[in-house]
Amino acid sequence: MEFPGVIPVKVTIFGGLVISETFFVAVCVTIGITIFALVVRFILLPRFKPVPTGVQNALEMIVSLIDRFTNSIMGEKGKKLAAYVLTLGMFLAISGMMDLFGLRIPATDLNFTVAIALITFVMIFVFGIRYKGVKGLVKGYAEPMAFIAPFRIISDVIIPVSLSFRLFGNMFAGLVVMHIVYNAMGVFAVGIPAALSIYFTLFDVGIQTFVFLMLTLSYIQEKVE
Amino acid sequence: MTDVGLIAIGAGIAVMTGLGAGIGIGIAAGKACEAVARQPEVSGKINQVMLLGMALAESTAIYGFVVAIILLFTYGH
Repeated sequence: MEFPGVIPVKVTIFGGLVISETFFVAVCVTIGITIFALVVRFILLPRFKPVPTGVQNALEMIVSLIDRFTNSIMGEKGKKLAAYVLTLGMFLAISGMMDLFGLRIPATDLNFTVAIALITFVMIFVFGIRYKGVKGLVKGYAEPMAFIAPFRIISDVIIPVSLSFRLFGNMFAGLVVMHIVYNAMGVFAVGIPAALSIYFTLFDVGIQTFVFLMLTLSYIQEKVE
Repeated sequence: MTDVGLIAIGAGIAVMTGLGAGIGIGIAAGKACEAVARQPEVSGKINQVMLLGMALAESTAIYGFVVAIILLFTYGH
């Protein structure tokens, strides 16, 4: 039984370019989401009615859900942040469902989770500098007392580590368990893998996406207030 | 004791962080249940907060799991 490794399988294409299988899945999901966005913008958007029906109703429900979610955590300053939250959430959710097609989801690759955790980390500091200035930010580490500054610096540095490893650990655990179940049942793999993958592929991906988005907004809100 | 045996024992000890996570998640779920029983109309908000608390408490168990995976996968010959 060949275990899925922590480092995914790499292939060489176009004579020289080495990519891994998770990178390929991430690129395919990106192309799919881009095509969907272009279709909505150029074909569906001119046909929107004042009273929504059908597809327009579903899209408006999703956008208003993310808007209310961002507003409830960050208040009015989060209006521009809602776009980033929706993009990240859509990408994590849709790429997480690729497990149903037998592909290895990008979140099981440590490179991917570290990349999006670093993007969030940079955004936290950009928002902090924009709302408080560099001096205000550095002085904020010494509140409420001056000698706890090292602890606050450490807990800020640990943010990308905890975000990336939480997502990676949950997704990789799901991948290993599903792999074991498929290989253990052999030819009789009917029924039980489907029931298990409702938890590991749909519920776990949803919970981890929700937690990642909520933690992003909470960290930014903590820096901005 | 061979090398592989010690690696296996180390991986087993690393996963014992699940004990603390189980206790923490159980306490969080119990408090959420009490809160919903006290005030059922805000159960949506309580559900959100409980899920967030559970995912954060679970992350220490996940750190132990990642250490075990690294031990098993990268310390072999």
